[in-house]
Amino acid sequence: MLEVRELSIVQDGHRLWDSVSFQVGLGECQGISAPSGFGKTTLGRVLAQWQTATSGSVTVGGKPLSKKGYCPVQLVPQHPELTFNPYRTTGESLRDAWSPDAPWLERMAVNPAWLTRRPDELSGGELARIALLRALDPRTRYLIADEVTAQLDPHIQAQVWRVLLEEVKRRELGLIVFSHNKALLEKVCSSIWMPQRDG
Amino acid sequence: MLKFDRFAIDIAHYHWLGHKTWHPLLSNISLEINPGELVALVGSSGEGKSLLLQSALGLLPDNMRCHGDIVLDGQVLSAAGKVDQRGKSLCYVPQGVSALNPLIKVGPQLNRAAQLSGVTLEPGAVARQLQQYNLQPGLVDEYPRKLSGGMAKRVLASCAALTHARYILADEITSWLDDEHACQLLTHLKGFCQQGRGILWVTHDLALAARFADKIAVLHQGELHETLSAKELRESAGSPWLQSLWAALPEQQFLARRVPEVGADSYA
Repeated sequence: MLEVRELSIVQDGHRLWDSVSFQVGLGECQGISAPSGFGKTTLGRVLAQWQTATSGSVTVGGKPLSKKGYCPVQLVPQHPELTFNPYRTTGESLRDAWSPDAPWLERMAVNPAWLTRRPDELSGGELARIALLRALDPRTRYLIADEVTAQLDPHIQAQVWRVLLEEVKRRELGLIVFSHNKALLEKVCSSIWMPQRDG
Repeated sequence: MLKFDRFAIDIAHYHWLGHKTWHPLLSNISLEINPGELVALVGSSGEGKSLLLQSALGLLPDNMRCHGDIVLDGQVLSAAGKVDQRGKSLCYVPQGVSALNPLIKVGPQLNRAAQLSGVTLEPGAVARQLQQYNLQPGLVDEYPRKLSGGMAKRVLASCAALTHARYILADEITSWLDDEHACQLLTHLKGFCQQGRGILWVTHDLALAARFADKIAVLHQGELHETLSAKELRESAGSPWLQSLWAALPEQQFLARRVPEVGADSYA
């Protein structure tokens, strides 16, 4: 169980989130939809320990996340092109996490040839798929998908979601989906949370 | 009228000793954008849609070359002409938010972009433009890192709105925006069309395209597969491939439908 308790995030003098609490169990798919500029991405970064919260706690299975080793909560960011080292091939960046085999590449519609190229040689949608594959490391327990399929065409989008939902069932992955696409959230998520700003 | 005439893009594959072979990425693209028209360009990812827009401004990377003509109001654009027209007749809204310079505040950045395209802005014009897209006017004094994805997209769009370019090439302008803001932005773009500007809009969002675009051009396997009107798309006309794309939308059948041709091998 990924549990968020009384989490507050203040960034640059703006109070983005004010003591929010929610929980996501293993094998659950939680959708979060809020207007642009609400702070969804920042929340995702805090959950995956990319940055610290102002107050409150994030616990997995009752224990706070360790600062060392592989973080079981993984974030697939909105702009995957910014998370690849521009001087290394995408394959090297991918293998820093794990080495998926050929069937895995095919499931995620990743062409093996893309892994020998550098990020600037690939399109946004291709990088999005590699970033998603990287985050599907077997050690990942919770996956935060921040608008991951916004850059994909409908065919690939449907295929990627099929794989993600299979993983949710197969290994009881906990999935948190940030998206603006209400139709998408309704189809994939077991529950949807639409936070509102007071006043 | 902005016209791509039998336009093609080749990509170089490098071998030993700098020897390279050219492989076609896009071929035989003929597309017209009339003033007052909003043309949506759809296709699979990695198809070369962004490159098509970039080539109109002479922004292709070194390992690519293009042939065929880009005709602007009856004149074929030369390589130098493409550079000259940047921002003046043709304006490009890039896909990635990394296009914003992280070291320049939003206000000066937009002012500079307008200046480079030959427009002198009155003080306060940038803030007003931002307000029009529901952004705080105080944002002009912020650095781009403080913007969320959707906010950055709107800043990039204001950049195009502030210039007097007659043709706007907008790359995925609505991704990361919520429905309300996306519709607002597109309504604003439609307003530009009524002023006589032409817009080429690359998108994956067929639902929005069917709602706002006048004409929809479909790229498939490196060629312009078909061009149809938004009405035809809504009435599910078009090739089987386009129909399967439509059916795969989350609003339609989405996960329920298996599409055999999807997979890494279709990109090999």
